[in-house]
Amino acid sequence: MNRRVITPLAGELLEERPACSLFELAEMTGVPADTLVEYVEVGLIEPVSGHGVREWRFSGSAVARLQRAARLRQDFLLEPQALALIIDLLEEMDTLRARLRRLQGEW
Amino acid sequence: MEFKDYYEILGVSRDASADEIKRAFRKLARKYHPDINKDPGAEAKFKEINEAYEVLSDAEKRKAYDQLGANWRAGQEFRPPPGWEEQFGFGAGAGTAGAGKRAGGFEFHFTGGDAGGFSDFFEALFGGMGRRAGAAGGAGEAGGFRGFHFHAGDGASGGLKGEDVHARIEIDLADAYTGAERTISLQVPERQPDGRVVMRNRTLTVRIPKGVREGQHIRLKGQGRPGMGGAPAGDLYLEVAFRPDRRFRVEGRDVFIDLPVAPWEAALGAKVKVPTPAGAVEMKIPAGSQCGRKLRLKGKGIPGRQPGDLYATLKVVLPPADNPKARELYEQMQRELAFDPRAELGA
Repeated sequence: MNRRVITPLAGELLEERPACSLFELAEMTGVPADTLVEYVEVGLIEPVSGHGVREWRFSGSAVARLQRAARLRQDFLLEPQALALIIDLLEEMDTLRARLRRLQGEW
Repeated sequence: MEFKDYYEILGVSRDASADEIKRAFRKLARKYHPDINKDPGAEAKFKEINEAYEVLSDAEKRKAYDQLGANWRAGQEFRPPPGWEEQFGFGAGAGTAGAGKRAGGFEFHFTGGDAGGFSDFFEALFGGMGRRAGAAGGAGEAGGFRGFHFHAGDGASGGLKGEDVHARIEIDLADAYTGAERTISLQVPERQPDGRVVMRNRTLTVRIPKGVREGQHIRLKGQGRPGMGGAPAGDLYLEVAFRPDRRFRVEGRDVFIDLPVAPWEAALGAKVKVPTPAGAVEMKIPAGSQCGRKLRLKGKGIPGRQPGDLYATLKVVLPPADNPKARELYEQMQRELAFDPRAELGA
C-alpha cells in the first residue's frame, strides 16, 4: 500500500473571523458592493460597527447569511425584503429546533 | 442501474400539465430545500426532486422519458433501450437545447457526502445534454452554475473565480472540546474532454477547530471549484453539525446532561462524578436538592473565548423495592416520615 502523510487542511471558523469591510465581504461572497448596501438597508445583514459605508465592519456570520440568501433568492425568486424576513425566521427556527432537541432528549 | 419514476417523485400523474408539474415541484422544493429543511435525507430528496423536474419540465426530455413506457417501476433494474442516443440525440456532445433554458435550478448548492449530482439513471439517458451546468460550458454560463457562486469580473486576472462549495460535516461533541481531524469525501463534478460531466470522489482531511459550535462554518480557502482564466478557486464551506449523543445535549455553547442521583444524595448532599465531553469532573450536590434541579458547571460547556457552561439536571432514581431489606426501608419511611408529595395539589 502506498501510504502518504496527509497534512490536514486548517480552515478558519467563519463566525469567529475578524470583522471585515464591505469590499472584503463583496469579494468573499461575490455579491456586488451596491447590492450589499441594499441588503444593509433592508436589514438582511447588519454591520457590527461603523457609521458610514466605508467604516462598516461585518462579522463572519454575515457571510453565511448572504450565502443562504443567495441560494434562496435564486431558488424562490425573492426580493431583498422578503429574503431578510425569511432568513430571520429560518434562524429563529434553527434556534427553536436546537432548544426542542435539547428538551426532547432521551431520558 | 435503477429506474427512476420521475412522475412518482413529483407526485403527479403521467398526463400532468406543465403547470401542474411546476406547482408540484415548487411545493416540494419549498419543503426539502436544504436551507429550509435540515433533516438528514432532505438534501438527497431535494436532489431527486430537481432531477425529476429537470426532465419533466423540459418538453424534449419529457417526451423522450415518456417513450420508455409506463410499465417501468421505480427501483427496477434498467438499461437504456437500444438506439436511444440515435433517436433522441442526448448522447455525448449533443448538448444543445434545454441546457441553460430554465432559470432557478437548484443543483450544486450542497455537494456534501453521498448526495452528489444527478443519478446514473439520468446520466445514462440524458448524459450529453446533462445538467445545465455541464452542457452550457465555459465562462458566463447563464442558468448553469448560478450567478452568485461565480464571482464575476474578478479584477486583475479577468478570469472567473471558481464556485464556492457547501457541504455539511457531522462531528462528535468531544471534537469541539479538543479539536480533531476528520476525513471527508466530496462528490465533485468533473468535465470530461467529450463534454460529459462525471462525478468524482474527492477526499480531504480537515482540521476541526476547538470550540466550534453547531451551525458554524469552517471555511477552507481555495478548496472550492477551480477558477477559470487564471482566477482563483472558490472556497469550501463546511457547516458543522453534532452527531446525536446518548448523554449530552447542546444548545449554542452550553451543554446539558441529565444526572441520575440516589434519593439520599439529593436529600443529604453529595459529591458525585459528572461526565463531560472532556472527561469526568467532580460536582457537589447541595443537600435538600429535588429532582429536576439544574446545577451549573461554569465554563465546562464548549470551550472558547467565552466558554459555555455545562448544566446537570438531577434525576432522582429510586432503588427498586425488590428485596426484603429495601422493602423494609421504604416501609420504615412510610411509617415514620410525615410526607405528602401532593400537599400542594390540595387533593
